[in-house]
Amino acid sequence: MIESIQFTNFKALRQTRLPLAPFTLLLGPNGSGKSSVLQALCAIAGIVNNSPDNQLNRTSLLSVSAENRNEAVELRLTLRLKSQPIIATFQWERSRPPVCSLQHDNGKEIHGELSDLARNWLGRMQVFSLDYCAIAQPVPVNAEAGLQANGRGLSAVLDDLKDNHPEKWESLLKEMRQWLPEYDYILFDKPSPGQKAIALRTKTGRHRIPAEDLSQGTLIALALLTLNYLPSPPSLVGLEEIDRGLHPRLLRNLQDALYRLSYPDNSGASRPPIQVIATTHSPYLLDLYCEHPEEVVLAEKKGLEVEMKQLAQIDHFEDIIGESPLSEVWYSGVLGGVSVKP
Amino acid sequence: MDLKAHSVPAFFSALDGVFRGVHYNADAEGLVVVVDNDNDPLHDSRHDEPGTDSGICRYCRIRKTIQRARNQLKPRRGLPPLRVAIGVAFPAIEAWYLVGVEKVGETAWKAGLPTGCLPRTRLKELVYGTGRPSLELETKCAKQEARRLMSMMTALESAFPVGFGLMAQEMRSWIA
Ligand SMILES: [Zn+2]
Repeated sequence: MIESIQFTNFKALRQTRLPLAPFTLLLGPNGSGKSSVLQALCAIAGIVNNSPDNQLNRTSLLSVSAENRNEAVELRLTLRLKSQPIIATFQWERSRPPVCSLQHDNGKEIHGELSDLARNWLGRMQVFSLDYCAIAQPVPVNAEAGLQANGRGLSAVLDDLKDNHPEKWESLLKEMRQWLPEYDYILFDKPSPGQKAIALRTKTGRHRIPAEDLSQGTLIALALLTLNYLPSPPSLVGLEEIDRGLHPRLLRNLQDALYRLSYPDNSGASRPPIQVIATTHSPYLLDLYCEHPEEVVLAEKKGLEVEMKQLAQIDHFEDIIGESPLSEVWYSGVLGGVSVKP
Repeated sequence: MDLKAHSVPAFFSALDGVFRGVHYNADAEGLVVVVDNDNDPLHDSRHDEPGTDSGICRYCRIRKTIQRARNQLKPRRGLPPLRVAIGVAFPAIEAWYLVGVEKVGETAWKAGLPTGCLPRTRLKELVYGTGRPSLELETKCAKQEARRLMSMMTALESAFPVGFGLMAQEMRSWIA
């Protein structure tokens, strides 16, 4: 997993260190660099996979607040894979393709198996910014079973689960009935020749509701709960504004599903953990993490700089959260991580 | 520090944590807490007598919450105890803005509010010219009235001797 990321002149993050846990909830005012964190993960996966569409150029990445246009743009990740610490550095220099270097913590370069392992891990990171329209969109019947960043392709993923991974499919249906008790089955539609889309069957009356008629929250919930059943799981998932469109009562289900990604042992699953970084503005979701202050990071703008700190790093955090709900104390601004008038 | 709550219930539920957070902030010397009183009974010096149940007076609730939190916390290292001033605007902060404009203070509101002859809804109309002021308008008026009232402290204190007076007394003692 990634233990921390040091950002240098990267988008909104001029000089910021982000500490990470197997699961991290990232909160902060608009413009405090939450999206920059997720863009960094996309950029890294793009470089490692050599995929041109993901390789952002230096000019677009350079922080507007960098002291001059020649400043280095750099991401420095502290990884731990198979209990080995690895420093992965990504640099965007002028008129050169971005470079990646992997080192041991003593500065020695990493080659061979460990290098392959690290590159494979970094290349399997996936960031989602789910959009209900994209989730509902039909895909070609022969589309590859993969979930795109906006949620497009969900029908192909589900169809693949149904046909090729019946155990996963059954577990997913069971979980869907808990999240969305008004539905009992996922069906597949052919809205036009050569296309497929999902539909949900209502528990009462067994009506077929096509994807385009499902609510925004239902579609987002379906995509989120599918993350636990992806046949080729990512190493890390970044989730932008995770509570968007969800009813507050679903947030507890969401928390369970995300914990199952990052702590599969807890639920008896035998797959490797998937690190999770999720951004939110939801006070309700925040309250669910009050017992795990190491899992919550507050981003705070301080002039041109952004500071990102775990709640657990706030001096006397346990003492401060006495009888008040974490969300209200956060909202008050006494912990930081809210917008402050200049 | 610019501290906020989004509602009165949220204010009371955050207060313990906010006091604790400010207590541990080495840059803070004092905490000023101001809340609308709405329809709750106004604080009375009789509430200060030991054993008097003042469960629904907002001033007493705030004082009690802070006292309890203070007793549970370690003293501030190398710093004097955090000073706290409590203001309770009766029935709402807009009533303070009307000092020098309308002759309406705590006594008038206390009498007029329950009978309906001084309805709470009139306050916003009087101050903002609308019952649905924007945040921008509220902020602008607050700043403007605060500046105006700086030269009218005595009038403000005599119109609102409890809700504003106690806070002013406390804050004056900080300077002394
Ligand atoms: Zn009282």
